[in-house]
Amino acid sequence: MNAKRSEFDQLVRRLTPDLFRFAYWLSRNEALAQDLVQESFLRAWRSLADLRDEKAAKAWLMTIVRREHARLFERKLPPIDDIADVVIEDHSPSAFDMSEIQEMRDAIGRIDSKYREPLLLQLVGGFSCNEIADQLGISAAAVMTQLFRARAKLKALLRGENRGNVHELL
Amino acid sequence: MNCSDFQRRLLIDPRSPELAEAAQARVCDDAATRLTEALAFEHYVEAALAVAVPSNLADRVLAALPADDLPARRSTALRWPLALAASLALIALVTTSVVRAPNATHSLIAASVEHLSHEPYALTRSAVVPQTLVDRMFTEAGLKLNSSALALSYLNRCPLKQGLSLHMVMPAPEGPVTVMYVPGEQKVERMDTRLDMVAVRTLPFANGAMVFLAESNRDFDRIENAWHQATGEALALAAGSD
Repeated sequence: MNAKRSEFDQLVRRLTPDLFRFAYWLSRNEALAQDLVQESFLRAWRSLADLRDEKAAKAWLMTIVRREHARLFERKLPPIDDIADVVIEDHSPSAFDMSEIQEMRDAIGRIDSKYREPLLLQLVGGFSCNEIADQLGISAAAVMTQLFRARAKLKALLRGENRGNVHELL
Repeated sequence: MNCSDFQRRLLIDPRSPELAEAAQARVCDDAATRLTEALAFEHYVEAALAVAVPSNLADRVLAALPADDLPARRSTALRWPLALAASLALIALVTTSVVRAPNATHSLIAASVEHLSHEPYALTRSAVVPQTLVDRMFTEAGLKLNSSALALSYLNRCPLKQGLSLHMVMPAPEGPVTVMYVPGEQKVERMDTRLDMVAVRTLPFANGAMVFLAESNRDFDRIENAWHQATGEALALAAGSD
């Protein structure tokens, strides 16, 4: 095995959890998320020469996942699963009980993808507003607006406000 | 930063160091409380986002990667003749193997066999694709189905020839059968053949064509039967079997 392959293997092991979670919340389907991760790593391997900076690998791979997801679902689709019906086993330690976690997952699944995607990039990807802006091809100000609305909508949904007409706070 | 700006930014990036400083500076009377609540909410969102990652996913990703070393970057000038040579070799191979095939059928077979290598992991999946997803993707492809009798272990929308096709895998006794549905491909003729090690059946289907690919063609009749039933069509099966 050459050095590049060895490095790539380490990259796969290091980034698979974050990429899977990102893909899961984009597609909201576990099987599709696994396929997205596999296909994205395969595409990344084929075009590894395009990766100039190892530090940028995560952003590069997340962009591949987003594009791959968009390619599969280029026409707007309704949610694949009703997130409220999907109970995912969770082994992560948490101060919240499973019903609370499920309630939040339900809310995350209900906000519009244009708000959810920047939130995922911030919380799953760990990117700054400027980095998210670069990835999404929008302004940093627009990212901030979307992040603001994402959290405002989550809070409104958890308060039980009208799911179809969450009050805009901006 | 004033109190209003502080509250707005709590919903943008509550972990920003500037907000901690602003809370200490008491930009609002209850800034510290608001920051604590925002950070607790952040922890709540993160806990919800942290879905369990399927065991061995990284191993499966690595197993699906090509075993050979990464091809070295080549200049564009060198790449296109190599691509052309590869294409010509493929055309020659297909021409030899399915020389009697009508043109549209011939090119569809070549494209389908080639596509198999793009998604090798498709054959290893075992979970059943949700029926709602099958129905929806076929509806989008212009075909109303009763998919209750179709057990698919893989479903993806893939580029094949000049449009998007539905790439599926169906478990079968003799091994998984890959099924490609190509909407709009209406010049394809019914045919059973082999290309290298792959048994292939093509047939006109609904408003397009269908291609079956597998190691053996022994399950093709049963699979074709299931698809005709799913569309409510009368059965018209060929007798070709190994």
